[in-house]
Amino acid sequence: MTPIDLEAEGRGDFVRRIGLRETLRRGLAISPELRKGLGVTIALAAVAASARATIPYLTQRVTDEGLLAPGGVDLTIIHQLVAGGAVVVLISMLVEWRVRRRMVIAAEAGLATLRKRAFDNVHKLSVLTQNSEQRGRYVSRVTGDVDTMRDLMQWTGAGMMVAAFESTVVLVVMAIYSWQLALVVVVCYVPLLAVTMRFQPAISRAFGDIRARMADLLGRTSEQLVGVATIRSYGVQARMRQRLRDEIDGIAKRERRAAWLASASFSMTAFGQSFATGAALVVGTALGVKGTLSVGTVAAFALLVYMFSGPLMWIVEMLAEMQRALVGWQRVIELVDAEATVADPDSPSALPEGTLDLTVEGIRLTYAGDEEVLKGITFTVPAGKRLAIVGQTGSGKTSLARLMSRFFDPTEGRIALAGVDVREVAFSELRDRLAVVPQEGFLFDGTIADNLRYSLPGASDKDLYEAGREAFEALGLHAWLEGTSHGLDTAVGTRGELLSAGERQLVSIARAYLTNPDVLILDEATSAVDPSTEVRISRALEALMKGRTAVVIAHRLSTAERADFVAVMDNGELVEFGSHTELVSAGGTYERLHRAWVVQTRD
Amino acid sequence: MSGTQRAEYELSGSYARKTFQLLGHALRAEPRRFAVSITAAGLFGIVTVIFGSLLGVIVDDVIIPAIRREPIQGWFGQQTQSGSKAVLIAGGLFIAIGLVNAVLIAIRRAVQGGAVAGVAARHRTVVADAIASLPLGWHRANPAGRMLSAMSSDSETATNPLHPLAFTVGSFTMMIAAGYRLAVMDGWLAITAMMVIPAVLAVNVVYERVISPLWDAGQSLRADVSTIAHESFEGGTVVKALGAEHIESERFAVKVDGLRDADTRVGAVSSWFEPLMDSMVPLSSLAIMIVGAHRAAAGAVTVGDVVSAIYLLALLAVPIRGIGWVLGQMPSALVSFQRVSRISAAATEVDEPGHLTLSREGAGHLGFRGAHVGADDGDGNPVVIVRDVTLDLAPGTVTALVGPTGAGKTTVALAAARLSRAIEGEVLLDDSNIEVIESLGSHVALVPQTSFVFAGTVRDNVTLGDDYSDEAVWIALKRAAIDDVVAGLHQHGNALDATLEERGMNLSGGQRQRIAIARALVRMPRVLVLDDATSAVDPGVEQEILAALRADGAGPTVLLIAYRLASIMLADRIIHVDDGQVVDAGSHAELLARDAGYKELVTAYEQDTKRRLDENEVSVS
Repeated sequence: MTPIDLEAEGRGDFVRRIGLRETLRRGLAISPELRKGLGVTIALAAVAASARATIPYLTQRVTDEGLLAPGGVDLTIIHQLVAGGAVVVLISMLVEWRVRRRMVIAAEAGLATLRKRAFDNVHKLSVLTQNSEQRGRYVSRVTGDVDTMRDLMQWTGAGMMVAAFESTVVLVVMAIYSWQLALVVVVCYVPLLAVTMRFQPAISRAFGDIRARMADLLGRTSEQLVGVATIRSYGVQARMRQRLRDEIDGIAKRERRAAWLASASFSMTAFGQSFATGAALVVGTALGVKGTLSVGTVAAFALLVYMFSGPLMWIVEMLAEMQRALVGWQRVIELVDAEATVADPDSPSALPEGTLDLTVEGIRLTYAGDEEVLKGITFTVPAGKRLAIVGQTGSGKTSLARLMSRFFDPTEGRIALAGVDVREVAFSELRDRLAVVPQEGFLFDGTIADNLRYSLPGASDKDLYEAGREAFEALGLHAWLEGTSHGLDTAVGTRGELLSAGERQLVSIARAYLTNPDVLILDEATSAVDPSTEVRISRALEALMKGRTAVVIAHRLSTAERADFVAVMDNGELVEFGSHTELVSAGGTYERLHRAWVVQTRD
Repeated sequence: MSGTQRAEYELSGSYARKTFQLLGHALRAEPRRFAVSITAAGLFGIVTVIFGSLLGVIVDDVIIPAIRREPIQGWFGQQTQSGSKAVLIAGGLFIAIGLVNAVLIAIRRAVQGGAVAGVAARHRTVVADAIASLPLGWHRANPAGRMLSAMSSDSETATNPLHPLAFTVGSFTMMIAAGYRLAVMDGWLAITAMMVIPAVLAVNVVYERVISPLWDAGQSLRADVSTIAHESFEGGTVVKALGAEHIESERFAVKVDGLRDADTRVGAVSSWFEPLMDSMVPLSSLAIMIVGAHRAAAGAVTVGDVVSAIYLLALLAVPIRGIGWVLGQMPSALVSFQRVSRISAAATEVDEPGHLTLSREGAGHLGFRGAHVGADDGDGNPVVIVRDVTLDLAPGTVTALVGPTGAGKTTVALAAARLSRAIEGEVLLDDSNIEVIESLGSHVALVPQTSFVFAGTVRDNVTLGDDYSDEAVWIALKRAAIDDVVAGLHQHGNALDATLEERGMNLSGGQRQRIAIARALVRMPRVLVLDDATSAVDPGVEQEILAALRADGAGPTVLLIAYRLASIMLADRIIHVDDGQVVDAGSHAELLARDAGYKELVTAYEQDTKRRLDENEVSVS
């Protein structure tokens, strides 16, 4: 097992950034809808683009055959030509409508699939990659990044495709009229386009820089949002505003620089347009004098050059946009392809029925680029017994609990339930048999019952309510539930914020109770809640742990006092292990902690 | 936040009026840059029209005569009678015009980009300035995401229609010039060509009407998708712990499919809009050919005039799309602009409301006189949360506020720092109404529940930029029992220069709280308000900090909200708050004797401990 790359995962930035070809290949493989019917769409786009050459073509015919007809202006032929042109323009409009519509349907279907795949994979990633900082980035990948691509695929993409065909068709028409003039135009353009393309990396770097600055600005802003009360009460509003203004001005400055770069590159192609028109007129007239070209052809060329360069300018203009979208696409693909560091076993072993004992054998854990967090831990919790783990912040107790829940795997050693390595157990079984009650009682928006449903996904409403009420009863929370405004139908709000922190804990305890696990991993809340809720929580936890194998990350020594065994962690090592009474009389670290605690709480 | 800033962001009246207000705001925010880029765009338009007209002149005067070996006409004929020379002069003119145009384009686009960046920066600055001027009630009522999206996506969306603004306004000159050129040639040609403008506007108006409701529906589903993703990822540990991944997948998939369908409907409408706009100019060109042919047949115009007219019309295609773009982006831009303006309008708190200078001698005397204390409900209306509070906190004493969640303790604590208000009655510091005291922060230091730690040095986090010596900072850190941790942050050099990560991510919750306490202590406050500010601190350390506050007798008057009995016991006086009212006040012993509610509250711990001891004894026997 390689060390977990916390560094890379921590940034939410997976080190490897794939190339354009790979992006397209993986992107189309993930969203096959994008590929479906693409050939027809491209063919239709080519048809729509060819029709764009109608006007210059008609200009030539109308000039040569109508306006300059030997017997004066020939209205009949002009009427015929224009009528034909109108039909072509209208048909091309309909074809272009079909092209866009096809692209919209394919893109939306493909993006929906991409969003779902990315979302599902986030939940497969280990808990390490899910700390609060990255969550926001993951959300932005399934929302913002996908939306950027949406613009690319529907508008920019369709537009670019038609534009590219348009330039090509116009070039072909030019070549048919006069290959010499077409060559002149190409010779004028190619060097300018080459120079323009050289600007592109610098432009995209500039835009990338702006995005990074923007992320910093949002970071500073959210910090200040947390600190509004402090900022105001210390009267440092002006200084804090200045911090943000500096960031904002920095972004504006960079945007201005990027604008100069982009405009220099764009004006290059604009110059190419006039240059090519001038050159085409000179050469065209020279050829006309020799008698190889008609007046209409030379006049049509001015229009053709304009029509050739217009789409090219537009493509150059959209390149930056396209790069932005491609980077977005890459980011989402990376998320879809991010390997789940904790995988379901191929041929899982079943756990025996009944209560399970839990063994920790020589566990070592190193996060990549960091010190060893757990340095060889070994102990056993007999079936039905309770272990409390105590230790300072950073002693490794939370990491140990997460390993036991298989939120990620150890660098070395094994964790076993009734002798079966947890890595051999199917996730579905493991989650049925082992329940985790995390520190913060996180609830989903909805009612209390909606939250309980997570433990009983298949249950009917009637069964759910019955089981829910029984759970609250068994946990001694009947009175609390009665006191809520609508019982199990009480709305909890986003993240459960309509309830207090302690009440959220109560619901999450009931939720764990409903899964009826054999093993419990509890992370005791660190923050103090009001005493009456505190009492409810500890009673409910008692009831929940009754008769089950339990591991509690204890922040209060009263919790340790009631456990069958106490493990004392210090700096990644297990320094003491035994019953509360044993450790108190042993005169070690635990005894010192305990003595200090007794003095505080019982005076 | 100034009143002018608020006025600047007001939008009112009809849709068209609001559109002009948004554009007017931009022009006022960046007058010079917009002026330069619009001028460049205008010149560009004129030069382009010259280019188009020149084409007609060259066809008539140079190309046709040269090819037909007839004498060169007009101005070119005056220069030279050699066909090849005249053509070279014509080509040279084209290239010269091209150069001028390229320079004008570069200036227009770059300066325009700078102007838009400036307007976006203006939006962001308004949001940044509002943060500390919004009532706390507003922050409670609105999620942080609202401010963050105002800072990022709203500020961008509100400037979207500005990108082609200079070009579009500038190209009016092109249209006028083209219209003038055409009118000089022939009235009928001019009328035919200009018909394209009302047609384009009509298509845009219809489009806006049809697409807006569809677009709104899509946006609200987009918000739902984002909300579910946010919630589900945030509760990722719980989802994993419950093995509920598939439930979440399904929940998300339903919304994603809904969004897909809504976006497809939007796309279906846009799918006909774009091609329709694209065919406007070709159809007009066809019309010009017919009208031009008839006028040429009548001898009213030359062949060159007709070619010019067709070319001029082709030139108009781009600015016409520009107008479409400005108008097409306007509905979403207005929504975003209004989100910024609502934030700006709600930012009503004044930085320094006081004018009375108080002496900084000794500990402060804090008093509440029949105060009905309240907060802003988020819509600018005051709501009373705690009624009729009368309290006296004698200088140098420690007072604990005790009560269940939601009793109103925080509201009382905030009132001491003027962050919630006495809607009736008064809050006094040294017998002066707290509302009028100048730089109250130098007298009263508040440490709120959630600690504010920002990316920056330890020193900045403690001093907040105020002038304190390193020695004073170290003393404060020591009194907050965080000096060891800080000393460990930096191996060499001054540990106060060690940087803390964004939101203090490299510290634990308890350590962040202690940094916040050090920040209060360095100011040597006369009144210290601790609003559950030690909840994540280890109980032993909490005792140490609180005990040190009163050790030398020169400490501040302390108002404390805490849940741990040991901390409550440190107070000289305890105030029991329940359901928005002060129930009783006195010493621990007094309250225990006469206040049943208090007794129940604080003895809950003890009872629980006893109960468990009993249970243990039962199970042992």
